[in-house]
Amino acid sequence: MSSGSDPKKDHGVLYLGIDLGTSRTSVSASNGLRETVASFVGYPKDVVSRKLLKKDVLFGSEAVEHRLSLNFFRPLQHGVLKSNDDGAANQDNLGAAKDLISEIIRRAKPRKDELIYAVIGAPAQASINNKEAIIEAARQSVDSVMLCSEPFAVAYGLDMLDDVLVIDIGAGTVDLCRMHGTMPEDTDQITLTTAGDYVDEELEKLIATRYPEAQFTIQMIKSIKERHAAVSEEMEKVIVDLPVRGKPTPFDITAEMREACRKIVPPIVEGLGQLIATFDPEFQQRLKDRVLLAGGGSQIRGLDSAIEREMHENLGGGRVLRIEEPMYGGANGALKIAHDMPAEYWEKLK
Amino acid sequence: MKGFPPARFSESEQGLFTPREIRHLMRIEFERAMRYEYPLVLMLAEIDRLEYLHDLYGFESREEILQAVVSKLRSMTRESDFLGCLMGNRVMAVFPHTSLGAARALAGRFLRSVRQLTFQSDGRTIRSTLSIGMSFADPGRATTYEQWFQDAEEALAFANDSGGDRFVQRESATDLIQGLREDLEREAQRLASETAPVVPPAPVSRPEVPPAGSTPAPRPPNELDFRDLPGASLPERITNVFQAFDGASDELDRLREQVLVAAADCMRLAKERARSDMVDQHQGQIEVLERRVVKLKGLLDLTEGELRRVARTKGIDPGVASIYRTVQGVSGDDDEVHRKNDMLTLIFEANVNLRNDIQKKKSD
Ligand SMILES: Nc1ncnc2c1ncn2[C@@H]1O[C@H](COP(=O)(O)OP(=O)(O)OP(=O)(O)O)[C@@H](O)[C@H]1O
Repeated sequence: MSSGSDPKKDHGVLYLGIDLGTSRTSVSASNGLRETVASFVGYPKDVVSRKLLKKDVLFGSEAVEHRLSLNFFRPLQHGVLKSNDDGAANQDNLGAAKDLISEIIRRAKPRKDELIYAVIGAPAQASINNKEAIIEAARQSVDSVMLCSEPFAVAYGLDMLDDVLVIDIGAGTVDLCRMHGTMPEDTDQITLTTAGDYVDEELEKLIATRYPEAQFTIQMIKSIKERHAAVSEEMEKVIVDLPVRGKPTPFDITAEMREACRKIVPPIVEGLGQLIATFDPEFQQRLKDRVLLAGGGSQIRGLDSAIEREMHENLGGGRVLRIEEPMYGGANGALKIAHDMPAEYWEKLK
Repeated sequence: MKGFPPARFSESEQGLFTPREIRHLMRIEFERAMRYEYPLVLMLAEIDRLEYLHDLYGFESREEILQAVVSKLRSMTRESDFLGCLMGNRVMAVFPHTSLGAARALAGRFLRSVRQLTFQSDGRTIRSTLSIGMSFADPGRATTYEQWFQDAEEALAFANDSGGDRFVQRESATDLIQGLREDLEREAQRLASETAPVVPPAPVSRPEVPPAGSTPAPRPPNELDFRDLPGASLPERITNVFQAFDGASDELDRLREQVLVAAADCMRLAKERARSDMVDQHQGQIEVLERRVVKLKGLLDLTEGELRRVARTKGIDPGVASIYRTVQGVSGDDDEVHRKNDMLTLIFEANVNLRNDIQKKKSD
């Protein structure tokens, strides 16, 4: 598509807000659709599997399900496109990322006669190669595209433009971002790798230590976490069935779950401390009181209170607000940016 | 009228109220009617061709006619609880607690009684007619004082333009068209049944015309109405008038006046009929077009349904339409519109720089 001057496109303007994540890619569209797909892409390994699967490319959970007969990709790592050692984008990954972006746009069901303007929330620290790849991928399917910082999109979506700290807990990274009216700069952002995947790994280790007889995969651990993640002392008991020599056996992993989930709290609060301490002293208190918790990982029950408590102990106070739709916070915000962007900017970037 | 002094006609300083006060009182009355939910009728009446009579017969006759008409109206409404005044040639009256039916009947009575008034001027008999514009403030239907007043004015203008001697109640364009339709139908029926020979016109002054041996007897004066003569063409009417001419020179003058008036009436009538026909014709066209639109829309729905079906069977998804037809931008109502626009500009600039960097990297 990409030829923005297509004369037939005069029937409407479809805005897309896209959140490109390590584990999940989501879109919110101005036709009311919201879609999310796990950031996995797979291509049938050979003719036989292609015939069997009746598809050239599979995405999300479908790709996970058939991963043994696929060349399987998770194109993003730690929030950015995986690259070769020399920093150049890995061509296979790049292709997979492009297909993933096309797929998420397709799922927003754009009409052929509408202009499509997309804002993609990308990790602020993504390299130029990365950003180039994202833009290239998107341009195949949209008329005009812009990138913006992911945490900025979250804050913009909530109309909190001033003195806000955004904690975006993803799979690969936790992005901490200080917003003070303008676009965040490098010094306003801290990226931690103690995110969702890290919790999965820690949980895996703790369970393996306590119940060496239990058999499980990291995927199983992840889905257990997504069902039961919590950090408070009073959390409900977590009893799960794990196979022991092939036989499902119940295990109590309450303490392990709490411990693994709590591990992400200290680095987050330490990062917040740095961002607060280097801020204009007059506004430090205000900043502390306006902390937004976003991203899939923010769904750990009791996490907001746990971060608040840690802030009280180490930073002398703070208030944390969990955003209402953590899975779509970035996409919704990007959609709002797309909507608000003046027409001439879109035109110039066609 | 609660809280009102008994309503009276007022003519500038001599009356109970000045025109301005009357308008003010009318407004109060209007608001009260809306609040307490009772119907209120506004009538504006004008004597037809008063300026013409003035030119023809002089100032005195004009004043005389005006006074006579006003006192007639006053005598007819002595019992009713209303507020009225005379402004220029125009009588304004507000009737509270008056239904539309009652107001129409009253207007009809006004017309008839003014038609029956006769005046003598220089030994000639002068007759006059009235145009009335009415508007009805129904508490069930939202309207404003200004609108109510404007409606009456427009109705009066319409009554005037349609030849006078009638009342027009201003409601809506549809009502007007409906009214016109009914008028036209009545007219058509009358035309069909009209076999009587052409009758002489006698709009203003009449009985002095010498009894014409060959012409049919004129109708009794109180039944005369130029609208009753739809079949008479201009030349016929002129011929009729001149058949009565016996050669005397002041008779000739008088007859010429009659011819003038008759010609004017005929032309007005012709104009009115042409306009009604046009309205009718346009209404007919609108109906035809509306039927076509409905039909085409039905076809379009069918086609779209068929397209969707074909798309489904072929596995093509036509997509879901965006709620936006045009590019939006930050709403002007947004409190932070300037700050947001600044931020969006920064995002845009960062993207332009990114494109430039990418371009540069590629060319290196
Ligand atoms: N109910 C839940 N409780 C706890 N964690 C959850 C829950 N649901 C999802 N997660 C975790 O959230 C993470 C994904 O979050 P999100 O989709 O916001 O990240 P992403 O944008 O894909 O990643 P990144 O920001 O690193 O690119 C995963 O680690 C996932 O396991």
